[in-house]
Amino acid sequence: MSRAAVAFAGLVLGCSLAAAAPADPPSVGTPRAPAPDFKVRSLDSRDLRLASLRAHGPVIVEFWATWCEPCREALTELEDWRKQYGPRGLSIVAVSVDGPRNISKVRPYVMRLHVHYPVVIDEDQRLQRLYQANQMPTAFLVDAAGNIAAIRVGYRRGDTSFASRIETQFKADTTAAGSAR
Amino acid sequence: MRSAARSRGRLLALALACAALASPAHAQLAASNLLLFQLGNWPPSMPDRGTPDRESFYDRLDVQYVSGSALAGVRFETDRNSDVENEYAGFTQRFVDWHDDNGLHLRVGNCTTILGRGLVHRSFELPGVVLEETGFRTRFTPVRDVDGVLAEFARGPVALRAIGGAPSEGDVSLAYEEILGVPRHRGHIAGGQGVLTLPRQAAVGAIAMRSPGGIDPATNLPQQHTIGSGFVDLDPLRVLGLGGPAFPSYFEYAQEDRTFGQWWAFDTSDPTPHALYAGTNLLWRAFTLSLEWKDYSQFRLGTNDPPSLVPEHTEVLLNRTTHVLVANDETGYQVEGSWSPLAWATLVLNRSRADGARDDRYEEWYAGLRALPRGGRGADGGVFYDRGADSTTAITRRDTYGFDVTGRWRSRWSARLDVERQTSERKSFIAATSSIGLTHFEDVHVSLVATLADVGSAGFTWDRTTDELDPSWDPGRTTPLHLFSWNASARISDGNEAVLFLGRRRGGLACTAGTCYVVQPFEGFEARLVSRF
Repeated sequence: MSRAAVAFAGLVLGCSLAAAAPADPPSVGTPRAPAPDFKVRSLDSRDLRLASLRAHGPVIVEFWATWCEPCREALTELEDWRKQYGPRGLSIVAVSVDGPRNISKVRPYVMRLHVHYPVVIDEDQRLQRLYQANQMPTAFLVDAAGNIAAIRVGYRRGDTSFASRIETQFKADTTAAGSAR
Repeated sequence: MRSAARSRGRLLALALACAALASPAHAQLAASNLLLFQLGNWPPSMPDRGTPDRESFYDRLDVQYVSGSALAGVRFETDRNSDVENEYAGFTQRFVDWHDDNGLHLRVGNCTTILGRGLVHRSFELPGVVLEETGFRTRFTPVRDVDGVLAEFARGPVALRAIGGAPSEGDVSLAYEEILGVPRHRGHIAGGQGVLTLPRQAAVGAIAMRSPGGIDPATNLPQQHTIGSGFVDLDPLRVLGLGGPAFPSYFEYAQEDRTFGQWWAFDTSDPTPHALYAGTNLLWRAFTLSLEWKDYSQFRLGTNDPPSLVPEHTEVLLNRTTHVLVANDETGYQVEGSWSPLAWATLVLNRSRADGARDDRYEEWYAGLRALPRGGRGADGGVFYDRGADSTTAITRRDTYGFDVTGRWRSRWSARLDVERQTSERKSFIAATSSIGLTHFEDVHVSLVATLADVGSAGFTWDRTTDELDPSWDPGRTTPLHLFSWNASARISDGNEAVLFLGRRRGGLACTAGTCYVVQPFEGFEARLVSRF
């Protein structure tokens, strides 16, 4: 790469940092980083938009694939959370990153797991790149304000930290709603 | 090269302008980094491996700047090693992405997309994978993208998508550009698709793609090829207004350099470059069935990725011995059925077959049973058996079987044992008799991993093989090859995860996200640190 290009890239990063600097800069992985908005259609033809979903409460965006062994358990756990937290406003969107080789297996796979939250196929990797989800599974907890509250990369059964974040999020949202009143 | 650099500069300037114009109140930087450190090297059986205690760093940094509906991003990659061999450092991706609330999406720079099911075009990347190439030794993230423009528009029942620019073959690192002067993006493609959504969740679409290839003898100029495709996506039962089982189906047919009338004939004779893919699911209560059919002839375009119809297994030995699609001449099918007679048990059966040129044939039978008693609270596991053969790799028979079991206790502790065995027959030259005959070999894979939730995991892997074509097999060896390794992973903090490896890693084919690639064998210590900040 030419020196000019490197200099330009440095400038881009520098200006970006400067532009983001006014407050203490939040980032992905820490509270208050904004979750990129998206509009998708689920396998059962529901049109979903993050901004609309989070109006009801926190949202979990889970990236997974049929070829990913730990994803099976992660998706099952999501169904448990749907039952537990769904009535309180939690929404779940499971994003399959399966390509053409496995796309026909997504529906049967989901049906086998008996899950009832919406599943979408990220066929052009747009959401995966937007959220920089490089490992499967990766879960993002988005709060009602549209910021990423927590990220879970990988899956380990018994790991309660992400569930704790969901509880914390409900408490925070309740407090925020109380303050607003 | 200069024009490429100028082009890059212009795009970065555009990114800079977008970043500068963005409202700081809503602007955010997000980044993820992958650091890969190795101390060790390929096994002595590998040619040109250099020093045995080679030390190397590979790093990939992705930075995205988000401001409202605009997004700008760059990727920085570097590969450094103690042999000072083919080192590089530089920006390998840059893009500006913008969308509005009226259904318009525009991306300038490095783009990926898919048209239809990928018969005509699919650009993609494998973000979690780092490839290492032999010969001109270099490491990089495989990205088969297009350096150009992607535009999408959707309103009501109509969705349009267009892409144009210079494609990449995906297996070229920045070192090729910096050291050899070979550009990673070459040539030109342009195309798009239109999709019309019909009532009852049905859709029809048309795809066209233009790309140069070969020289036109009449004009002595690069010849332009046009690939056209059409597809239908519907559930016939739903269209007929019937309830009960779901029957989602997809059909796509593509041809090269044909008129619409010729396309409509659905010619599947071999002299006609064509690709036909049909897939359907039958979903009914505890039973699911997936049926797929393919017929590809002269359709290895370099920028497409037709469905291979080969199961992507999670079992280690099956994953590394899969069949790689030959889109120039392959016809076949895949059937996969699953049945959950009990709430805690699922049976999966798969049958795949592909016939190619010169009577080449790949076929596979797979059966797997998974059990999750009491919701898997105490234990779960599975058993499988697979029989296959693939004449494209001279494998006349391959039997694989094994089991895995996971036990859990004290809510946070778990341990997983995976045991697999594979016996194979390969048609090959036998030196002792100076003739072609069958050689038999065996592979065994055992891994045990203990996990403490919230903290991390530790385990070991043992691989044993008698395959003389294994990349770790040293010439003259007469005894089985054993490869032991220790693995550990730990969550260092929120957004930081470390994976450690010590020992000998087996090389060979690996498949992730439907794409297969070659992993080089390794002996030594490796640390992988994945960070988000």
